[in-house]
Amino acid sequence: MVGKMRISILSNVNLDMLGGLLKKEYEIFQTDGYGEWITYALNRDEKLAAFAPDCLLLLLEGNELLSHCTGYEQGAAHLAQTAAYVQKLAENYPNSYLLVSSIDRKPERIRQRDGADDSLRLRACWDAHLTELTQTYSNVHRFELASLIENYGRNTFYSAKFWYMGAIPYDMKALHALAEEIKKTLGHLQTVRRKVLTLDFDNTLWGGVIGEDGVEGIVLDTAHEGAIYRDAQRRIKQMQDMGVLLAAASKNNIEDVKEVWEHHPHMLLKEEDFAASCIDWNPKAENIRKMAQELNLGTDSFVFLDDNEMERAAVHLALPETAVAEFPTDLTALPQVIEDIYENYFWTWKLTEEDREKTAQYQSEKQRREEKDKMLSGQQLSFEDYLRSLETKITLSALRPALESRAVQLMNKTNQFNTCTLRMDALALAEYQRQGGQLILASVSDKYGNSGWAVEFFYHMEENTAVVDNFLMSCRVMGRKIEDAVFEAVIEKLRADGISQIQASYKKSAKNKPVEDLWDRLGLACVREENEEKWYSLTLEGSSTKQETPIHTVCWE
Amino acid sequence: MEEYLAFIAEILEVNPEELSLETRAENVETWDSLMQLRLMGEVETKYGVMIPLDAVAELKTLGDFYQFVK
Repeated sequence: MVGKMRISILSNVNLDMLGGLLKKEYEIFQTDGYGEWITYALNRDEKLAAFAPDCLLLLLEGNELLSHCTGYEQGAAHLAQTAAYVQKLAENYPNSYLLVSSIDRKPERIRQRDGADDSLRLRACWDAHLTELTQTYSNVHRFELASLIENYGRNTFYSAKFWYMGAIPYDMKALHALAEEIKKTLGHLQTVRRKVLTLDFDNTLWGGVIGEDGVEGIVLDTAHEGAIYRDAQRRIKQMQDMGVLLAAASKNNIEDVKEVWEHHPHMLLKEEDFAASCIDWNPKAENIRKMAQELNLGTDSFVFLDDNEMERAAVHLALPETAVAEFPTDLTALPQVIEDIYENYFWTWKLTEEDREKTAQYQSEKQRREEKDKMLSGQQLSFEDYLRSLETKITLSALRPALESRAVQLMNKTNQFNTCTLRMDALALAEYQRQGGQLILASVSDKYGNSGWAVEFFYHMEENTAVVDNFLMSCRVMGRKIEDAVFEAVIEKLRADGISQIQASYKKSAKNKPVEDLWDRLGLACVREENEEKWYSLTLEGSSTKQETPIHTVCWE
Repeated sequence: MEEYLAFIAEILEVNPEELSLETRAENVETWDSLMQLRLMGEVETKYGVMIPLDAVAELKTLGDFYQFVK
């Protein structure tokens, strides 16, 4: 998105005032009247469509939404109807993101007190609809209105005065808070997720200095000050489950740290949780660089957490692209700071299978490296023998809905093995397909583990020619001749489809040097070279080029 | 009073010099009925005061709002 983001706020109550609070940051389309969101949902409004909003924000005020319903059944039926309207909205504006709010409900005060309060159940009912909507439509995301109100405090968020004077449900100060939350959430539509949280140990994961205090002496416990560190570790562990890689950059003796890993009953983060670690006395910036290389990632994918201000300043100076998190002056805020780090740097709308298994994947990569070193050093074995020993299986599939979020994630974060660095969000990808673009994905697994969907091959047809728009592969599976096998399989398919010619190109980017000779290596002829771009061609005549004994097993899904 | 007018000017998106305690809705393009409510809300929040419902209809000039600030 270039320039200001274009948004429109839809609601069942009067939230026009938000437009005034947000117009410095965004281009805003003001809808006619208020509470008219259903009209906009059911019929594609030409004026709104012409405005081409990047994002539609639907804020539903739960109390008003359900004001005419009595009892849970009626409320639930109305929410199902509302979900159907949202569905229409998503379908009528397919080129916009649609953020849909959760709903808050004030508890019923006038009721028999031993009877159930339906407000929470109705809120949960809407949450279930929201989850389904976000799973069905790749352009629909959740806006956390209910938790905002809860955290702010319901008594001060709502304003009876504004409500009765202008059908505005929220207090002035609350509207400002809501505007801030909107800015924060919309920001997440535009930022790229980082990948690695780098941690210091002493006074960051536990209190005290292990080298001086010993395993018995460090502060890490289930109560009091020790519980702050334990709760912080618990949140870091949760982050890891969300696909964040952990790295250690700590100035300690490795034997001392091993003692903690092996013997401290409350140390939640174990040795195997760290995808990379540098526990030594070298400068931390140097160590982050080293770990970035080891993990095949850029230092701009790293976030650094350390209690020591000097260390933070040194890393910031040496690696300005690495994010340095603030450490709280009030230690009790540490668990909260960890949550902030997740929101600021590792936020994700949808988690993919690959995210979940990331740490395991990096660990199997480590095993692969060790096996390779062992094989190549000890015996007279070739690199191909090593690759064969991995028993790699490659599965190809045309893009299908279940792969969409992974497909988008992969094409936007892959830098090195990426011939044309074509970036697309979910909406652009849908448009690419509508215009005849094809996307083939490949997943890779071997005896050490599953690397998931890791390769993407984009092309479109021009008569009998397949024009390759992009060819990219995750750095996790680089250096194993996966690309050779995928390319060969795709060529076989195109040949079977009656294609006689392949065209491909390479566009130089800041990071894609590893593939500057890829097409040459795969047997294409360079036909033109201009500025930082090269065009290639391959004629598919004659018989199959299939190798006698392929290194990898390849199949189509 | 200057600080008050500067605060109001920011909300109305005009230069503070254009405002005085005599300024009324007709003089300012951005001052519509929604802005009337916002001015009330912003003044209440900023100065920690409560403008009673029956007084709202009587708020014609910036001076009328200022009565509650003082």
